[in-house]
Amino acid sequence: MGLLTIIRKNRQKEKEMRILFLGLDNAGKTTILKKLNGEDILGVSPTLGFNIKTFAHGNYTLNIWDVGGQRTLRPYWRNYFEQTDALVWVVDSGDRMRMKDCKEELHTLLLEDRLAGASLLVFANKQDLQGSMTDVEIRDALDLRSIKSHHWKIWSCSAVTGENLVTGLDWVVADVAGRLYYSTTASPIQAPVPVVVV
Amino acid sequence: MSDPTWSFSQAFSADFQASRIELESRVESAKATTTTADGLNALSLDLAKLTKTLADATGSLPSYDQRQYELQLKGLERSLEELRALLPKSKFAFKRKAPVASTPAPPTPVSMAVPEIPPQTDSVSTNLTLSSHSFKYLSTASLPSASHASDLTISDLNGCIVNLLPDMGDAEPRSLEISALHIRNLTDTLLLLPVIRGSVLLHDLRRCILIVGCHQFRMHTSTRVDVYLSIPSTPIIEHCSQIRFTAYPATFSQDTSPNVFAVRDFSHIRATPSPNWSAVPEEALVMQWPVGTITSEEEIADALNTLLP
Repeated sequence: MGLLTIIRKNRQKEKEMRILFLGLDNAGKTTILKKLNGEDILGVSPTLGFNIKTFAHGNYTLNIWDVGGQRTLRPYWRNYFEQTDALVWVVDSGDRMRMKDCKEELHTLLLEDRLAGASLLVFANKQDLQGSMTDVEIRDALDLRSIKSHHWKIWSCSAVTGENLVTGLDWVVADVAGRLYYSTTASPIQAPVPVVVV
Repeated sequence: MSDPTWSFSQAFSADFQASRIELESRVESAKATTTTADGLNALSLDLAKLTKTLADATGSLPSYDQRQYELQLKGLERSLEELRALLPKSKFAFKRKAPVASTPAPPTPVSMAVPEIPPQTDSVSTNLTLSSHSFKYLSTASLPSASHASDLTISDLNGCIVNLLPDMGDAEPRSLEISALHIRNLTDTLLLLPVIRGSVLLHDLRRCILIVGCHQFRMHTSTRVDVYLSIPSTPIIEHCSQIRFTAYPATFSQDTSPNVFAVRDFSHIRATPSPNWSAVPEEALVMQWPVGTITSEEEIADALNTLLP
């Protein structure tokens, strides 16, 4: 029994995932979480510090960390990187003026060693508002197609109507599960074969 | 040769070489001129990215190539180190913010340089914007009518009065429904806004009055602003100074939240009260608002001069 097998078996018992919600302020991170959890979203105030939510999703227990996105809080994001299985990056689709800022913060995060391997779900939030950028526009604005180091997917969603929130979460949970618990969900990935170049 | 690893290494080598040469030329030009710390940081960041792409490709490249690339990156790293050594060390010191000039708006119109926003060519969705005006009275007539809940961007205004309140006397009110507001770079401007469902995000306001009702309120890097606010959550400010808050005027909407809110200052997370905001003192409360359209620039300037803090 190799070390990897032991680790996998161990995780299988827990079936837990740690998911980190990040994004600029006003993106709607806390509102998405409250909506997912069936809570009232009217009184949500800008987050000072962080919120933790734990809930069951399919066979898994999700530990979701939602960290405030104000500029003064962003240096503290790094304190939450450890053991992260998935990163959910939430975008305010109406915030055209800060798309560049949003792109830079995201790409800086992806260089982080402790987030290496984490699945990346991008939520293009606030689609209920007319004038929001579409998921395709946001994909290009954030230059998502240049990301080779992480599995990623973008979903347009609305925290107010609840559109696509569960669908997005389904994808990220399945993606993490396929990686951590792949012995139970998929056939083992074929190891790359060394190639001799003539 | 149709081997996937081979074609990957081909494509990778081309990309990598292009990025490396580009970075090298930037380092060279940085050597020729004097660099700033920011410029140097940008270079190191790009180098880090390139190093990471190389690390990610490990195993898919011929080992000789991999070794060569690593050496090239090491060389770049050394050049950057040399540059960094040349940089004058900045002494650590507490900085005092420069006092804000308190000159009133000149009564005569001057052409204001408005930062150009590059046109988004590949964009298909369009949003409502109110942007780049000086010394004007702007109302809902300045906006295209929208039947759905919309996101409105207000930016780059100087010496303006913006009135987007629903017209009480209008028998057929315009069907404009704003749900979210993004506001940036306003000077000497008065904003009369309705109570909206969504959030308001503000950046870079100087000497303004803002009347708005919303679900969430975030204000950044602003100074000397009076806010007449109706809100069910906690409004926040960050990197702001001389901000004053009070209740939304009852004359514009009956549907307002009670005037009990605590403002949270993210630049002052302590038990002591924040020095950056206060309540609008009674004697400074505005009772008469310019809700009717004003056409002359002088009258707009006069109205603003009597109202603004």
